[in-house]
Amino acid sequence: MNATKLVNHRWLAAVLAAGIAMLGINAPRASGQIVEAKVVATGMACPFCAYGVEKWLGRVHGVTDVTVDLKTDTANLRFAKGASLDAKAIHRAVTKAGFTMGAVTVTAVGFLTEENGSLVLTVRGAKQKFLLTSPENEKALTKLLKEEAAIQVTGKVQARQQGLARLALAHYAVVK
Amino acid sequence: MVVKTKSNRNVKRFWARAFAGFALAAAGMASGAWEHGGARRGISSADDRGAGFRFVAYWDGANIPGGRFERPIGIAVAPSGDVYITDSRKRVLHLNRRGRFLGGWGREGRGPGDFEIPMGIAVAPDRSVYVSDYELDRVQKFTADGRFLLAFGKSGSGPGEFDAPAGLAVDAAGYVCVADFYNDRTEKFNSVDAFQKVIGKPGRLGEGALHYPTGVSILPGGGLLVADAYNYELQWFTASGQPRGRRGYHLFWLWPRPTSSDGGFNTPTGVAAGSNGGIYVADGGNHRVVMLSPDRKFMAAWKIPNAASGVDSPEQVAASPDGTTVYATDLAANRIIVLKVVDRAGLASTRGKN
Repeated sequence: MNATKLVNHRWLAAVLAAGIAMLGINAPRASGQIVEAKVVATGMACPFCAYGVEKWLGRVHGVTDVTVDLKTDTANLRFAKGASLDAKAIHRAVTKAGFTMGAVTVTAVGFLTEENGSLVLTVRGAKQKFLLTSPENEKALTKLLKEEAAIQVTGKVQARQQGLARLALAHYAVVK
Repeated sequence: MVVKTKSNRNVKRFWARAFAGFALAAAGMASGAWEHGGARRGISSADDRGAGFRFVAYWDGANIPGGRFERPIGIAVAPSGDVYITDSRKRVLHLNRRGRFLGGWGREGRGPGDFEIPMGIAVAPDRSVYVSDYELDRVQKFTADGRFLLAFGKSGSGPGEFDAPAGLAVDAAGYVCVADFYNDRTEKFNSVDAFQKVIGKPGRLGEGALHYPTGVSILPGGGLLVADAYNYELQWFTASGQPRGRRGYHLFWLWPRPTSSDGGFNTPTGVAAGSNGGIYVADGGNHRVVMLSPDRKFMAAWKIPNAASGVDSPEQVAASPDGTTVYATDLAANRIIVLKVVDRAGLASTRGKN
């Protein structure tokens, strides 16, 4: 192989790598993902317990990072790309750490769909769906549903309904 | 000729005190120490009992190359008087008795010598250093300057296994005792990692029953003292593991309850037995360091001024080999508390059961 051909191959490889990287950057927007979750573990004041919460939540499948804020009784979870939110596993982890689990607030990016007349956030990347409950935002969300826009939502996880986790929407934003 | 009058004796006394105060302050500043609210704390309120604490300094670790203390939690004093500390920067710090940085080691990881959550720390009579790892469920042994020697323990609840090992202590013969937090027990190993026995059992009621123990200390006679954090009490054991009493508040003499009174504790997470027989307790929920006599009587307490609400501190406590200084980790404020033990025949006059 002569030198010119080697240089050409290097250019080709660089262009391909850049393309793959760009696809990667767009992946969360295209398929959605669970961004983070805030889990309240009530009564967490002792650092040994906080480290216990950190330890057990860190072992929940898909969780990549846990930070605990003792002052707010909250554990902040970050998720791997493609990981889903396993509320039962989170509950088990908090209980194992010796606490009663309070509210779980999740932030996720996904697309709006309609199922059985209800608005649903579909996080394709995580193969997970959330039934959105937000009467005051229904008109705006219905508009976004028609536009097929990707949105980032934050809301409290509630008891399951129609086989889906319900999310009481607190905040949403269109992902550009 | 100088005539000694009362007034010039007073002047001399004044200058002597001023010089002593200046020297103390200079020593504190040289060690990176600082003081809360700009004022030194006096002797704790219980000094009428003959013993108490005098606040010396806070160390914030300003002189440490890798950065100040960040959530310090484990603390131990070597036979030489040097102080070892673990903090959330995944490291062990080695300081002299004035807080001057002497060395340190550690990095995040799961390999030999690495840490995920370094928690308890203890120094053996041969100067080797043991560190428990809360996340990795193991204890590692190092030389005094941080060379990795060995590790023992794995996740589980069987003999020799751990579920969040917390405080640890080494006795005169080199046996290592570890508070096994989520297994509600302590475990004893020899100096070459061989499991010896389980001390204590899970439970809420009665002697020997432990509920989330976090700290251990070896008594001068060789017995074991356990900070049984969520039974809100201290428990005494013989060297062979037989229960020998407890101290804390118990509702109807039965059910352990937290209290802010002198009769008990609110989440005592650390304990240290001094060579003078005094027992020092990190009573985190009450934000205080408590001093008990060898016969387990309340002697004094030093409370953290303006303690951060919502976070229990101090966490762990250690006593100098001569029993005159007590060090405590204050995780909530990222600092070490240094207290002098004031003992006007207070501890020495009490008869010990230890």
